[in-house]
Amino acid sequence: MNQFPTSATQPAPTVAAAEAVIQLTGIEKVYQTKTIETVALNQVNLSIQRGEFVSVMGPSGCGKSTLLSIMGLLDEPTSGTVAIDGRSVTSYSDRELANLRNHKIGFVFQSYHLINDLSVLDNVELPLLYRSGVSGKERRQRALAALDTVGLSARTRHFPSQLSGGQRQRVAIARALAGRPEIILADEPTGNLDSVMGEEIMDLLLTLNRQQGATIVMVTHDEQQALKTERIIRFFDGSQVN
Amino acid sequence: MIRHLITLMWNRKRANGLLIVEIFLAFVVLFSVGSVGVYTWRNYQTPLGFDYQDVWEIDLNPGTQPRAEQFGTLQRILQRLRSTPGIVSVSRSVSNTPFAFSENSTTLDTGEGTPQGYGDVYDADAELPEVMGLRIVAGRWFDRRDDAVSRRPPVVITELMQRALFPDGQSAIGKTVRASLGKPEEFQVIGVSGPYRAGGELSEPRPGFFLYVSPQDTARAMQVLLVRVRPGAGAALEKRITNDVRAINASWEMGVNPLPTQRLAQLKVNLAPPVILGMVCIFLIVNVALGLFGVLWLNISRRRGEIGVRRAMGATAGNISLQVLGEILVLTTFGLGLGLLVAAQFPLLGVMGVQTGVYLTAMLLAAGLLYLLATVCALYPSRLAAGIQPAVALREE
Amino acid sequence: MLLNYLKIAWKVLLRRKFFTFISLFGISFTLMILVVLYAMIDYTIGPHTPEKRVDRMLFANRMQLMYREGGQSNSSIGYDFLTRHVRTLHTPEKVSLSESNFGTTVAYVGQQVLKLDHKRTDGEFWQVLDFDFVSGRPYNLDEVRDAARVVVINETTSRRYFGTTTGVIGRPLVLDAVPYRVVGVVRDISISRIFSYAEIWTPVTTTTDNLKDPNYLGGYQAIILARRADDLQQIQDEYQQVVNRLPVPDPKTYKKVNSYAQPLLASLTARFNNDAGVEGGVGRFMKVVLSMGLLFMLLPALNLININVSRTLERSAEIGVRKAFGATAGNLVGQFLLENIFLTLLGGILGLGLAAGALHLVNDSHFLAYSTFALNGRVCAVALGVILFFGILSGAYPAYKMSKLQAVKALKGETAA
Repeated sequence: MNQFPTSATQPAPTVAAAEAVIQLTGIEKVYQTKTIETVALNQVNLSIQRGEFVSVMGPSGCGKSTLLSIMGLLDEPTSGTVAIDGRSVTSYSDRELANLRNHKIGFVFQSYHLINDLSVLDNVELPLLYRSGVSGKERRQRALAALDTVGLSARTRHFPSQLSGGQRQRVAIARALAGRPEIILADEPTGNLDSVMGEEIMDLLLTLNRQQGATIVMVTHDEQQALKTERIIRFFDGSQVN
Repeated sequence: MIRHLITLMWNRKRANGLLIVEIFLAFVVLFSVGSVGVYTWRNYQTPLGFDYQDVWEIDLNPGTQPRAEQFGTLQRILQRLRSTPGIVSVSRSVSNTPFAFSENSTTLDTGEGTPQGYGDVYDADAELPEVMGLRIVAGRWFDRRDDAVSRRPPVVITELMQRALFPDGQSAIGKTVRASLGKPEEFQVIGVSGPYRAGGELSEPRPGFFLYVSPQDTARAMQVLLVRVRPGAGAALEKRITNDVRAINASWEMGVNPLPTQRLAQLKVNLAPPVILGMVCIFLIVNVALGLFGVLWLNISRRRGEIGVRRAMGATAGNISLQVLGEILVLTTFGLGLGLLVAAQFPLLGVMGVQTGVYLTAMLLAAGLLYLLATVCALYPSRLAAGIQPAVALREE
Repeated sequence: MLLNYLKIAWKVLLRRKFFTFISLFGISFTLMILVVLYAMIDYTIGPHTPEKRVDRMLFANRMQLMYREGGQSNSSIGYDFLTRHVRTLHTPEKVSLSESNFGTTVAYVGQQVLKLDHKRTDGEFWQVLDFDFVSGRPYNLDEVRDAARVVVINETTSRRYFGTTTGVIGRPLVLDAVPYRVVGVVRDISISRIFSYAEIWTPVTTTTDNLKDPNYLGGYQAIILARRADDLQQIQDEYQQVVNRLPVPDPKTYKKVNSYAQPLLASLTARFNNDAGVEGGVGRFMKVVLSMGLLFMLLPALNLININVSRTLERSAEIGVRKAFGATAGNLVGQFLLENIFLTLLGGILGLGLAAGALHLVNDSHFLAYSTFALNGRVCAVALGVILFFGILSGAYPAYKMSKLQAVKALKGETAA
């Protein structure tokens, strides 16, 4: 339907939109408190292609995480358009957004955000729980498959507190994979890990990108890791600097 | 989803242990007070079987008059009362008059090893049904025919006694029943009456029977009279009959107690415990509700990260809302389960001899009330949880 | 340090007003109910008018005849028995005999019926007990001996019968058509003082009963005043010896006679415990009352514990800092316990206020005739004890948890920052 979501005042995207999985057009994000107005993102136009591995870099507070939240449909931009698969989500209801997140997007966070009172398996099943028409048996199988992918098949009955940081992050990646999303959004996935474990996680993400064709957007501080990805987007003070 | 919630709550049982114990205790309190309430209400709903309006109870005390002369004086008093305008009818009775805090009970049976009926025994003369508006269901009430001394004195039993003695439904009229009241022990049933719950509205409805006091009886029913007066009779009549009695014999003292007054006095005493219990229960439950609400509220802020993740994984605001509600309902069910284990002992062990139905109703009421309470307490926290911005919540940690 | 803790406690209270409200609600109502109950007990068995010297009093008001074939007959005591065996005891300072239960006597005011609670007593009654006379005097020993038709009435009766409480001395009050002369007006006595309560009192000799009836069972009681509180045991022993020497009436039917002189509480509890001896089942009564009180406190305490535990999160930063600056677990436990006791104390003061109001309502409702329940020093002291107990009960576990578990959390907080 709305294949080319553009507004009259915004310039057309630079990359062919038909290929873009995520298309950000004229994104602005302003945080308003009583006294201060903080601009987190300023006129961001960005297009993520299917199968791409993109890293987002920049100093703390430059708006990287806000960008990721907006891409992940967790936050709404103050102005501008987000399009997933070429469709603008501006008018989407909470339910439709949730549905998109559930089917299309997988999240990986710096602090893992695993639910401590659920076993590894139950944690990985989580995205499938919010998807209708998936039987308990199927959930289990898909979760096990995802855990297999990250090499944690032996730890399904453990609880997050019994795992190391690297293992926890792998569980988080398995959780992101369980719903078989097209896009994985990773917010400093190695930020809490030492370099060896960070390396492991990075390799895992690269493998996912190459072998399974997952589109990955990763926020990182680590230049080395960023260099391994196909494209680096740099941010400074809410604007893209390239 | 429900399985997920149960798993989650089960894994959190240690953290939620105190909450579960609290819900368990709240259930026990609700169940106990509910049982008292249901029992009281059921009794209150059961017909009394008599009409207490315009009936006075008169206590007579012969004082120092020699015993041999007392019957003569009583005869004169009865005669005078019956001819007093304003008095409709007079019946001789004993101390277990309606609402009198006095009871007299024993067991009736129809022979060795036959069904028994335990209940109230009343001494009654021919006038009692007229005075109290007592209903005769089958057979007849006492009359002149019963004055002749017979081997088996007559007895009138209530419907409940008929049902207890003859569970197969056959008529009791003409049957011989036995009671251990001294001699004679055997009685012949001449009639079946409606209920006569002299214990008052809150007393347990139970079987009863009446023994005949003939006008010539000089041994029983000498000191208490039940008198039906014309509507509107008051202090003037009371003063008049007091003076009349004194005029007949100065050593006799008398006290007049209208049954409606007696009833209120008895209700006051009998209602006080359930009402006080009820008030204490309401306080405890409000307390639990506030606490539950507070804990849920605090838990929401503790679990912002988890809520953010769930939203990121595709949960709608409605899902989150339902989850908070579902969790507390699961916890309530855990507490209830423990509580039901305790509560079930009452009907199983037959404690207090109360009907099982009372306990079951109380259990249902208590469980329903707790679920309702949990739902109400979770409403605001669940909306709060649904309103959490996932992007903000995820960035906090 | 203490002041510092209290300051923090106050700030914590103000920071989350809703939770302060929940806590205070629970504490104050719990305390209110307990205080109301205790006040009622205190006004029933404590030293109050007319039994002001209750610590020097014994009550002999029950006679128990044990049947040969099991079973027993319980009743008040015959007047003749009391005259022979209790009035003659050597140790007491004074013994008063009176009807054990009040009866009802009717008086008429125009067309209105007054049902008056009526007790017949001897002259010593007024010496053993301390009634507050508004006007007039008690009837004396001579008037009792002569069966004079005199009556002491309470203020309310005076008001209802005469329309006033002044100038009624010497006026006639017609009881059951017999005129009595009013000799005294006393302040109303609460029905909770069950052994002395009545609305009108007349000499015991005006009864139609036969006071010379030798039957052990009857309708009378003795109130015994000892010279000193220490004499009570001796009097009890003396009475016991007298009872033990008594011939059993009708030995074919009965095998034993029991009767005790007991302090007020024991003589009350003995009515519900026929098998208790001279001790009267006081121990069991206390156990039941205490465990009921504890049970009742359990739910509100648990509630407070739950909220306190849930609130530890809010304090994790503070705890981390305190630990970092060398606070021991003991210090922290002390601090949080103190905070909780401070909170309970606030709730307790509120609760006392509520209790005063509730007692006022009970008095106003006339549920118990002439009740004058109120707070007094003893009640307040007990309330304070309950508050402290409740504060420790509900504060200990959360304080322990705070001091214990927060170490890990505080550390975690540091790594995340």
